[in-house]
Amino acid sequence: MDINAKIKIATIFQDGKIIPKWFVWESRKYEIKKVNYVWNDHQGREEIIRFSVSDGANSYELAYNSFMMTWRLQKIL
Amino acid sequence: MKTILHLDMNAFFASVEQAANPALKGKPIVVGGGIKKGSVVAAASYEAKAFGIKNGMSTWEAKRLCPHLITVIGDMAKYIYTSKIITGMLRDYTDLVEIFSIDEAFMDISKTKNNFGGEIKLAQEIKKRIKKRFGLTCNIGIGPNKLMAKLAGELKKPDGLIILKKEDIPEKIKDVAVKKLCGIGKKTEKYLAELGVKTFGQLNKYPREKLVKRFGLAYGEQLYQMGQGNGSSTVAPYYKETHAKSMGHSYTLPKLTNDMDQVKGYLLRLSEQVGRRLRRDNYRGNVIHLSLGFGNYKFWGKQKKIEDYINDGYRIFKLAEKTLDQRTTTDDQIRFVGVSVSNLIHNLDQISIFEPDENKKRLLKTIDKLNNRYGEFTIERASIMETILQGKTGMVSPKSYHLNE
Repeated sequence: MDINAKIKIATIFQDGKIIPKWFVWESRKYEIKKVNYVWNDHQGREEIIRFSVSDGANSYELAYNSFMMTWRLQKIL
Repeated sequence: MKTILHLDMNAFFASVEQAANPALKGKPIVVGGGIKKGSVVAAASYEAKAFGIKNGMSTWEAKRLCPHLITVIGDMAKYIYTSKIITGMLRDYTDLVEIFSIDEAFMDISKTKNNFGGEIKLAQEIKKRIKKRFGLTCNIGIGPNKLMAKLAGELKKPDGLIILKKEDIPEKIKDVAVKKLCGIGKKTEKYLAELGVKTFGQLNKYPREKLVKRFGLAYGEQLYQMGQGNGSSTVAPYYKETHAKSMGHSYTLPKLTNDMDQVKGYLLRLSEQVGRRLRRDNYRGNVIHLSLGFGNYKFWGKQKKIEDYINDGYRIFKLAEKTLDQRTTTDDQIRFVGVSVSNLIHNLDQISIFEPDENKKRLLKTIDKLNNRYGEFTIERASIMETILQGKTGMVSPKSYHLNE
């Protein structure tokens, strides 16, 4: 299900990796238990780093625009 | 004697989707255009293949074979990125890495294998790294040339690692079907069967002169050499830039159609993509080829040569459209559209003496600049806005997953 909404997020930057820990969407906090897959994409010259993450119940695709420094919940998988 | 390694990712697109979404793991899934009527399977997971589902099959047929089949819309960005990272890993073992397709590569490890404890340890390490990084499995075949390495990889799926040595040929593979050999298609398989040649062992023993008589000097000799286990062992490394011979894009439509306005919409979008790639890499071409695939799995194609060398998507479209309009049989429903430009020349940008031509060039340059900055099709023709390529499942040029990050 496509969502494409701005989110508030907490991440750890470790050894050149970005590890998302939790995010808030529509006032609800989602704890990230597992990062399943990470891949890069481009939108023009802007690099988008995409994360497939799970909170134990569902999986979500999060997108980090490293140029704009914004995070979005792209979809619920 | 050379040592060639062939790597083939297992059910690549489907496996990537399963790795990215744990809910899909262990389940029959297909990647393609969704569940709409007329959509086709681009890739099937091993669990789906167990139900007899094959790539290219209609999703409807696949659902009939497996009612609880899950369909996933493809995401090329994910596959290209994964492929690029894996290619990078392979280059840690040799600089002689040849990208064969988005999920296949050859490596010449003759001179470097001993640095990694031999070919088996090297192959095991590659498999381990891919598994750890992405949770994906692959087949690895090792042989004295590309033909035998690729065949070795075919012998055990999934997650296989097989070595074929010169002395194993033909005994170890005598019962393998000839169709497993790279380069033997359905027609050749049929013609060989008519000669009583169905297995590698039979091809190995078949007289050269009879093959030449049946298939002609060049192909007959090639088949004979294949039967002896001989083939090229030259791995064209990634850094040896070769000029493109043609550039094209194709797309499997979300559903079968006879609606020519819709087909032309996709054709225009694909032509614009081809034009953009030609301009990006400084190419122009003067042979435009249109190909169509139908619901009955037949293909039709025709090309047209013009005097000018072009890289304008709209001109490519107009020529392809003319070819499309010349098609005499229009009964079959279309499921696939492709357009390509060949007979390419590099770095030719003549200044036109006609002002409108120069204006058009300036306009294309500006559109390219905007799309480079803000993403593909930020600026696009209004007429193609309804023909969105679902999940970016259009054809991808080798260059896009070839080079460095």
